[in-house]
Amino acid sequence: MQLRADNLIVRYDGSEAAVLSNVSFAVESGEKVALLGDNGAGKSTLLLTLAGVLEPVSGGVILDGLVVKRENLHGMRQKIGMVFQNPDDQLFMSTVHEDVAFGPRSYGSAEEKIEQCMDKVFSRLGILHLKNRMTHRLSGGEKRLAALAGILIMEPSVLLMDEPFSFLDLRSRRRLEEILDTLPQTSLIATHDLEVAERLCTRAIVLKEGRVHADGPIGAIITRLKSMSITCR
Amino acid sequence: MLYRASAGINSLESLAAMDSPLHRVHPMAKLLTTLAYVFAVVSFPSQNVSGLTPFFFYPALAMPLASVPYRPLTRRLFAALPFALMGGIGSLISARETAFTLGSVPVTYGMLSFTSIMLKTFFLVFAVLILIATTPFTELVHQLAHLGIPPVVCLQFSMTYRYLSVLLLEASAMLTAYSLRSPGQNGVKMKDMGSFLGQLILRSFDRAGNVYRAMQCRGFQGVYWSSKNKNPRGGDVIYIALFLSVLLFLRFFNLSRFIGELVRQ
Ligand SMILES: Nc1ncnc2c1ncn2[C@@H]1O[C@H](COP(=O)(O)OP(=O)(O)O)[C@@H](O)[C@H]1O
Ligand SMILES: [Mg+2]
Repeated sequence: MQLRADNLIVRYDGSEAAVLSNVSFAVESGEKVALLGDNGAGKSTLLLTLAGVLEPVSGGVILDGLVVKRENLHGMRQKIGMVFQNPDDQLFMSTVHEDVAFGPRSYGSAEEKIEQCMDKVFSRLGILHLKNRMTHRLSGGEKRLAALAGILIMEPSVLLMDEPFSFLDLRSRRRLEEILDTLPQTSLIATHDLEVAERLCTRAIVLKEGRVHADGPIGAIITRLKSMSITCR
Repeated sequence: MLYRASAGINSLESLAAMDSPLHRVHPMAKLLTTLAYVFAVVSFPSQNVSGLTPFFFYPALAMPLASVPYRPLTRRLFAALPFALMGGIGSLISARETAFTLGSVPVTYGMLSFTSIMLKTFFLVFAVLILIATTPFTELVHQLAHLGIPPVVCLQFSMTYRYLSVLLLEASAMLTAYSLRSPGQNGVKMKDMGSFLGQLILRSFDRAGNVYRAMQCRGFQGVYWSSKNKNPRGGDVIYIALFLSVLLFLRFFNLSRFIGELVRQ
């Protein structure tokens, strides 16, 4: 599914300056794109806008030719899965099972179907053993996978991930990287980890102070970023 | 301490994920019987100890039926007792006329009120705790909605609950950070309290906002009702019927006195 940002301008309530200015790009179906940029560049804000959580002041988010509006937001959210940076924000139910069931239940899926899909998603992520665990007692890596399961069970066509590798030790990172590599979804992954980005993505978009600073094949972008940080020193 | 409190909420919740005959009773059946039980207990006149005593039947039956561990429940029961004590001691002091004598010991009206306040508190807190320990919170909220409580109120209710655990978690994280930087000290210094609390509120608002966004992203539209819209089964109806008849019987028929009379004869 194609995801397009069209001239997005986003401002937080109560602040004058726009956090995102004239952000435009299109991510093609099945493409995996890294979203790079310093802290405060606007990565999280962009992802939240694409997920329909923040409303742009002007411009729009377009999913396969359909503009996301308030009226169709509920349906659109089913197609766009957003993995938040802090899994504690995302795991709000008491057990992993309850939490993962939250999305499909909101959309009125039948319980038997939820169970089936859940088992499929859990075995795919290798976390069948976590099903009945309490969410607040999981390790960082387990939380991340549980949060991802809660999104994947909705079978979204587009995945937005906000620094999915943060809070993880090296082994959990590897594991997550392998999993993300096998996912077929159109993905936009905000990250600071250039090496992982290079392995996982084919293209990168660099945000700087709320604008698209660069957009192109991942190799070229990373070479450019690296040379820039060298010249800056 | 704060950390323990937040773990406390969750651990009572975690009991609800267990399985037992009482866990399997329909949440609506449990909610209705709990309300009826609370109503029956509260409506007793303040000095009627003998009429109240048989209401022990619920704790006595529910604990084995729910097969939940005793400790988390008793800890919370004891936490409620000081409040009951405060209320009870007042009446102990004020009403000193003798009601009757037990052997040669005079029993005052104050002693009766005191005992009945303690009993009532114990029964009420127990009834609520056992309900929470055997019914997932989301299902309770769901049932409230079924009872005609407006969705907005139900939403407030569940968000408050969720917010409370966020607040406690933030507080425990901040307290840890604080005590790491002020070694050898218990708790937060009075002079730091203001900024500590201010920070706490800001941080938990942020967190709660994020949680809310995450809920929206997964299709939350203000009314989320988990679960399996379970249908009540025959067993649930029998449970309600039995429970209510026992309640009615105990409420209007003084079992202790009756047994007392029998023994005397
Ligand atoms: N809730 C908010 N209210 C006001 N300003 C915010 C809020 N969240 C983020 N910002 C501001 O928006 C800018 C972009 O932040 P963010 O999107 O989180 O960047 P990134 O994810 O790239 O680190 C920052 O300057 C930040 O201070
Ligand atoms: Mg961010």
